[in-house]
Amino acid sequence: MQARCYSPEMKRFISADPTGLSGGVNFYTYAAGNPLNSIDPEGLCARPSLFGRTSQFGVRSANFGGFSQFGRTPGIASAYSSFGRPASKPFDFESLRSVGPALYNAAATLTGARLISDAIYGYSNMGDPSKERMLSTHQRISSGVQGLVQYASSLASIAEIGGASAMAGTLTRSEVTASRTAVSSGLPAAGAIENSAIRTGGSGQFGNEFQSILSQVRAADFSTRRNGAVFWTGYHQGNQRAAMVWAKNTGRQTIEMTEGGRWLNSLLNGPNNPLTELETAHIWRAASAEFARGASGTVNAFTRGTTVDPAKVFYGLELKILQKNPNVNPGVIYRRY
Amino acid sequence: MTIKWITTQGVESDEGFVFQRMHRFWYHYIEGDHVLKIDVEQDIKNKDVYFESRPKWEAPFTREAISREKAAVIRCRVEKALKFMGGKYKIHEV
Repeated sequence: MQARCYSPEMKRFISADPTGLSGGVNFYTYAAGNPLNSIDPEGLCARPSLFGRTSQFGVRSANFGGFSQFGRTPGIASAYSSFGRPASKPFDFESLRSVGPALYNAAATLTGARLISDAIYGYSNMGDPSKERMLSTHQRISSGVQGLVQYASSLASIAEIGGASAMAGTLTRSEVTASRTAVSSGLPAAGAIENSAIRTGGSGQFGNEFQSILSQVRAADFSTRRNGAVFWTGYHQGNQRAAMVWAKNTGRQTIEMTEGGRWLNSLLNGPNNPLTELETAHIWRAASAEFARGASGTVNAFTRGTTVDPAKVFYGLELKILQKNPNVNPGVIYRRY
Repeated sequence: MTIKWITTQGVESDEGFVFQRMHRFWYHYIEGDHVLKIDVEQDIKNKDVYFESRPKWEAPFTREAISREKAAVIRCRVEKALKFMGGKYKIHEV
């Protein structure tokens, strides 16, 4: 800021507003306390931001499908996608209702920080003599933004994994409630995920790499054409191979054949997989949920030789999402071969 | 026997083998230049590991027989590796 010092950690000015009371009763707020709709690069006077679109955050059913204001922040954009999906991808997990407000708050803070950071970066490129200091500040804010992105992604993953697992019966109601409580009380969301994983017998770390890949999964394309989604369960029974051969011959796709699936396979297979086995299982589970949400029309499945087990992704997650997907015709066609 | 992590999903034993998750659906048991592929299906609670009763080395050693005794040793080592790696697992003899 030109007239005042701004603390990205405190998210407020740390020197008083030189304009006095004309800028409001609080001398330390940024942009009159409305960073979503206003900017104040000089620290003297808030003015409308070109990017201010508060209404998108104020309405739960808002559509974040475009994500244009987060063009350089795919993580947060993908985190949003869990809460404000386009009409073609409805998202109605009960557990999301308590997580949503926390995500909105994180997103609002993120947006404010992003606008400030962008303003600083813009000034630094205008030949200001303190360019280096401004760039440094910009980098610190960007770092903070990254943290918020991860936080928001963590919230989304809590909702995804907790909600989906609850649907699948893999978490008890009390465990889901505990996750919600952790989020609403401000505990690190990633920690809540770890705890739920520990409770369910896992040992994953759910670190930054996991959060980053989970964010990318949400932004990846697992969609299929109408009548084009082919599901399967039972790798050892040969159902993956059968499903992929049939899908290829009929112009359909299994999850592995989608753009997102090919990307995940290339990322998570081999000795260089950055994730633990449990983390990898959670990532594929999240991807499977996306695949089921993106399905439409008639759905086909290959399940030969398997038993109905809610712990399996198909029976416990994909099938339940398909049943709630309004774009999918009732009744899965089970293919025999 | 001492086992240690060598990757995020792989372990090495001082008995001279490596057990590495190579794919969403299989492990590699590696002994020198010999590789045995072992199927696995994992959800967020359990791992179902499928151990062939008559296992075969991967190429180029597909014609090299694995005796029953050797198969039993490998199965035992696989179980130790899985135990070290943590989480619930079940080995299915197929």
